[in-house]
Amino acid sequence: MRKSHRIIAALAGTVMAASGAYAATNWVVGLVAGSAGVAQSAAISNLTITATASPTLTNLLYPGSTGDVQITISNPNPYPVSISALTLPSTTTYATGYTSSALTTTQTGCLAATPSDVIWVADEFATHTLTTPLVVAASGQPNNPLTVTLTAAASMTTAAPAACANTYFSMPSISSITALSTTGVATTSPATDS
Amino acid sequence: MQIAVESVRSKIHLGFAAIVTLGLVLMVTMVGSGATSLHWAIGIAASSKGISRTTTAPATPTAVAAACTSATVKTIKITFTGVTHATSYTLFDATTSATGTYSSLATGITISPYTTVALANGNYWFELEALVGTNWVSVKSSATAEYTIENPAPTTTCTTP
Repeated sequence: MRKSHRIIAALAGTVMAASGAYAATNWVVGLVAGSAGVAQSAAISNLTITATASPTLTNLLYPGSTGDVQITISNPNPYPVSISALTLPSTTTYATGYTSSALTTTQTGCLAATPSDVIWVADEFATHTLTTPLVVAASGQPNNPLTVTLTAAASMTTAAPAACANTYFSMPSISSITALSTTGVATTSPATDS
Repeated sequence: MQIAVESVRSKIHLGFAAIVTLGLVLMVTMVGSGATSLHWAIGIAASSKGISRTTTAPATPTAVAAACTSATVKTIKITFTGVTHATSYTLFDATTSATGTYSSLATGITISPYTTVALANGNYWFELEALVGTNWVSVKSSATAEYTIENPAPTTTCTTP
């Protein structure tokens, strides 16, 4: 009887330790994305995705083709974040053309309303699933912000206006992302997702 | 005394056993609720965008040349060097001079060489432009040399003056 109790006690200690570790790393959260954190947890801040200031795009768009899109992701949180997918706007939401990568002066005759005929390429349900999840490092760490080239993520129809040649495009706003806090290793910047 | 100590130890062990059971129930509940790998869900700020870019307008076709298909046929063979990404080419002709007014002679040309339809008698100069899609158009090429189509009896001739 005494021996069996010792075994149970040992098991109890193990399970308690495991439960504690589990709770510390995988505790259930039911928060709406982007909402503020509760008192006992770290705050949750939205990621920021911006157009890369000096893009290094290899595959450029032309009528009837797909081309690369470059984004820069900033993570203000004190922990890494893993992104697995982007939810994109509809295929009738067009990009606006600009004369330079500064995206300050619009390109005459190549606006979203023209339309420019430049859109995001999305799979079913307007989701752009990343080939490999991207891990953006915690705030203040190397590789944050993370620059990512999304290969063939934009497309241009054959009927695109001539005014859209040699133009930079501010892609339509990304609707949402599928992202979770993680303990994974940060992706090295710049990265490519094909 | 010995029995009393054993009794206390036994109760302590039973207490641990109860904690074990509670821990197991907790874990099973969490696993059963699908909470095995949940982390903080993160959103994005409004107006999160990317940047893309287009190529320049199509280049002007080069090495555009014309040649009589034969001395006795009223068609002209046009050769040229293709342009990157071009989906088709449009051929223009002028009948007054190299700098005269050009009009479209053939559209949808996709490959070099291209042979024109039979032409009416007259003098001809040719220019070519490249298209990418339907609206991206290159600057027209330089005019070719003059070609003359005539049919003095009894044969049709094509000559370069």
